[in-house]
Amino acid sequence: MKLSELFFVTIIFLILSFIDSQINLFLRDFLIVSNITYLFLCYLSFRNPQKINSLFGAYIGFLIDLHQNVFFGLHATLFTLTILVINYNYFRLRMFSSLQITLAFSFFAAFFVGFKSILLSTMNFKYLVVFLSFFSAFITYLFLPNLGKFLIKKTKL
Amino acid sequence: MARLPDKSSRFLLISTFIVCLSILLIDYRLGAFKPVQNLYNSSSIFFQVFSKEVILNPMYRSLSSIKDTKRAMEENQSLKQELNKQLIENYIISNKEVLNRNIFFDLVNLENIETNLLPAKVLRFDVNQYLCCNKHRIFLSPELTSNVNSFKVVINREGIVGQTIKISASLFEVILLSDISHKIPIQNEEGFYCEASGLGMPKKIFCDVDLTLGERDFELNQRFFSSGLGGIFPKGIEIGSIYEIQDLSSKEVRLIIETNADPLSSNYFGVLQQ
Repeated sequence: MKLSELFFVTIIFLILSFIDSQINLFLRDFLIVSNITYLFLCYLSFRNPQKINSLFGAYIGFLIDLHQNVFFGLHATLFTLTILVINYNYFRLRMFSSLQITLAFSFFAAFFVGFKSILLSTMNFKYLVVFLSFFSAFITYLFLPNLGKFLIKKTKL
Repeated sequence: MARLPDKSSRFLLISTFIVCLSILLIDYRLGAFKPVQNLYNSSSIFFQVFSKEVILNPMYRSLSSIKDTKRAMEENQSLKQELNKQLIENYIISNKEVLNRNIFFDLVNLENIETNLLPAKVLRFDVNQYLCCNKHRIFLSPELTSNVNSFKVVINREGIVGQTIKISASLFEVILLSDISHKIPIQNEEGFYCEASGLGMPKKIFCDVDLTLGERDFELNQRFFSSGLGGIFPKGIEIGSIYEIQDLSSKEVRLIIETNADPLSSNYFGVLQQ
């Protein structure tokens, strides 16, 4: 990946992380967590596993950890784990239909929300949040490929 | 073994994951990367303030054609700040006796002790994290050029909000009472003492009470005060009242206390310098 592309994608991820946190302020009352950043990473990793490798996931993850002031390595670990799982099941996922892909990534997003909740809101962990986040991720991913294509139109990702 | 896409390295995938996981564990258990986060936070706050004061505000001023509106807005802003200062000072005046009655102070010369208050303004408050997660922190900047050390009490017009953690001369972090790693010794009017921990929910702290140690009567809305036993918070300040009583077992209950002070109620705080 070129340096300009890396810079561009980093900015996109930081903006998406900011949008996520703003949306979450409103969705919190409905026990839903928005995961646009995470789903965008899943989309990119699945679209181009050669360029969006685990090092890239770690880099973006550490940056988001610093940006959100959470445990250092939390997003990095989950992002690299996601990229690892997508890479290991790449050919299996390629055979999936769009709906199946959406379902699979929604499961990943639900796991992501659950793991984060366990570490970040230990005493207020709610299964309902994980459950509802699955549906929220499902709906988000229906639109995300179009958004992703638009965002990275000028890059070679 | 699963086939990977072209050019993907199995070693790279697994080793990066293991490194990230190790870093997460080290930070979770030991907080070893706190200086890195502090550095990032202080530099990003500096950048925000710098860009606002040096770039955005002058641009805004030059573009603004209606001078009266600007003046009125500035006046409004300064009046708001003055009002906030006054409200904190009122709080101090009405609670002066108890604020001075810290167990480490000289009780004989009680009247001679002045409560030294340093005003401070919010630089960053992650409301999203405050509403969702365990970590409840605010970054403040002192209004006067004065060093704020760690373990100083932070108040707003409603009461005690938390305590300070020093980062640099012009920036400090406040750990709120509701932060999961914060503890405050409290007592009720009947002489029951406990160490309340933050619950990780806005305005909520909790005490676990072992009923085998003696019969205790708790009821909703029962008031709790700071006991001053930790040596940081002054004794006798009202912290909050019981919001919920949960039965953990037949011999243990959890008191969930709602604090009086809401950190979201103003962007102006006072740091007690004694």
